[in-house]
Amino acid sequence: MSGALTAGFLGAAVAIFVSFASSPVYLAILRRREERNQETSGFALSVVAMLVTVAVFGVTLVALAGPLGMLA
Amino acid sequence: MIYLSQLLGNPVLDADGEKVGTVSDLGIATGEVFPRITSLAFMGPGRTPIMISWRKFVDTYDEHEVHLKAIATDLRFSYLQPDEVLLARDILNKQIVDTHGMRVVRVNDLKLSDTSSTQLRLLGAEVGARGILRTLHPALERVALRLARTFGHPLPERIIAWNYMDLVERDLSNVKLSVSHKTLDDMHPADIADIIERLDPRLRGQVFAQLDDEQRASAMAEFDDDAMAAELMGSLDETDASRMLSEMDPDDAAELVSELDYDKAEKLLRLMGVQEQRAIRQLLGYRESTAGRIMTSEVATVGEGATVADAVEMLRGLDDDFEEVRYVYLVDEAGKLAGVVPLRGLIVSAPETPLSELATVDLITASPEDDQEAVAENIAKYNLLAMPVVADDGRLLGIVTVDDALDVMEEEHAEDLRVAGGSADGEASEHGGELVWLLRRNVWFFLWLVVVAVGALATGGLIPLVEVLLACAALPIALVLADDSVSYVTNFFLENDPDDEDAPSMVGFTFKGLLLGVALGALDVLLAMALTNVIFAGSPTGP
Repeated sequence: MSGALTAGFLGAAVAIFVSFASSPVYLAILRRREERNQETSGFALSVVAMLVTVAVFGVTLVALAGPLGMLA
Repeated sequence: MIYLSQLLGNPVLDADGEKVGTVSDLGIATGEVFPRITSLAFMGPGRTPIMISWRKFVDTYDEHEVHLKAIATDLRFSYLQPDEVLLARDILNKQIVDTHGMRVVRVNDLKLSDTSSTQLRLLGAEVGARGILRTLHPALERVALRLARTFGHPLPERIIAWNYMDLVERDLSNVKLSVSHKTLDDMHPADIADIIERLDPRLRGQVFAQLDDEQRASAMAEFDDDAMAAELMGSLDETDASRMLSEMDPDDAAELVSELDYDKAEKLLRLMGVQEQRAIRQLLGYRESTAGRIMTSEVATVGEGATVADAVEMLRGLDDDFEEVRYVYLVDEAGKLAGVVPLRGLIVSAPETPLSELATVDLITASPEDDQEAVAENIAKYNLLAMPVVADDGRLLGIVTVDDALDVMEEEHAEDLRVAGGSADGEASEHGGELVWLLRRNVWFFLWLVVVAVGALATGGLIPLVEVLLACAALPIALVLADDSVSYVTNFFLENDPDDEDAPSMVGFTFKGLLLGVALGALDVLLAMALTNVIFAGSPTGP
């Protein structure tokens, strides 16, 4: 059980790091869209960031599930 | 009071008490403030539609049945007169314009006055939720009313009086609705534009086509949605469209033309007068979002040696549709801007006063390539009503007026709000806004639920549900911080212009983002260690 909790928190830690590390990408997208006079919804950006988080979290969790004994 | 929904479907009984049909509609005479019901339409035997005069044949009525004065064989059919409208067919469930509140609403029911035993008059349209509930079933309305009262939020009726209603399905446009009727034609172009934007797309062209050239041109300049304006323009025939463009201020016309495809735009421009065409083509030569694109070339100018009398004479000679004049500009022989005189200066000075004595020569100007937002900010900063736009050699090209600057500010503000994750549409937040707000604020929670559900299903019992829940316990932290990371980006984006030399560098921004990611990730790991120690301390299954 503690393996599941640890894996989850580690997965979250990796996802948090990826979220902030990818902020230059979001900034570049916003600036490029503004140059092209395209409107960007902040809400849509948030949803995309959260979906990326879910994906990173899922991949990390699957990777850690074995080593941390979740599948035992 | 009685409602149309309470009358529709009721049995119609003749003088002998024999059922002759069921109520299907009521006709009204439209030329009155509170129109009288003039006809009763009902479905006779074999679903035959029948219409009879209300005044001649209806004896009594209530929410259960309608009694006629005559027996079935004595009934004389009538026909809808040119000034008559059928309530259920033409108004119920249709969009109307509330010309008092300046908005588009849907009619959910119609309220009738039954103060006289035989005469029935239309009071207005019910446009609120109560009308919908009543139409579904009167009991539903009663339950909703009781519930609303219990929770201390009475459900008020939302009635629009007939004299404030304008029908937008203009098949009835030839019908004069009321003697004191205020219609779309009497409204301000900005209100007309607002109303048209809120209409069903299929009705927009229909309503727009009803306006005269001048109203069309004024309303067109007020649309917020340029693509929709271009679409409306596409619905007009080419001569009408080019005439409307000629009526518009050149800057508004240029903005509209820029939304059209090249062939269409060229065709319309060629149909226009040479002068108007040249003005629009000149503006279209500037890049989007620059001062050149929003400036107007209609400027009141006089020679620098002119007097007040000359300026007044020039103003008198301007066309009626000339851009609103706030200042008179002095130009030299080469067309270079030499000074500016506010209108007040002309009014309070003697006619023979030379304008050079009144003119401000220390001018604040813009270049046609300047960013629109910067020009708008300068107009606000220096409290100007218009800012002259000059070429590199000092020639006066046009002016950016305060109303265009306000439009730019409004657009920028709406854009910033959208980037910041808010909604720029006030109406949207008014209607069902709370639910949307709740969903937007709690997307992380719904995503978390989905992940837990998918996790539980995907593992198919291989991992117990408790473990799946424990594994997902930290996900909300990651989701909320992902949302925060976007706020971090959008705040930086809104506060810093990449062209600004003083703005923080991209390297600094990236480094700060990495640091934040490491710090918050580490905090999350520390939290995991602390929780594991507290929860699983002494547990044999612990690590």
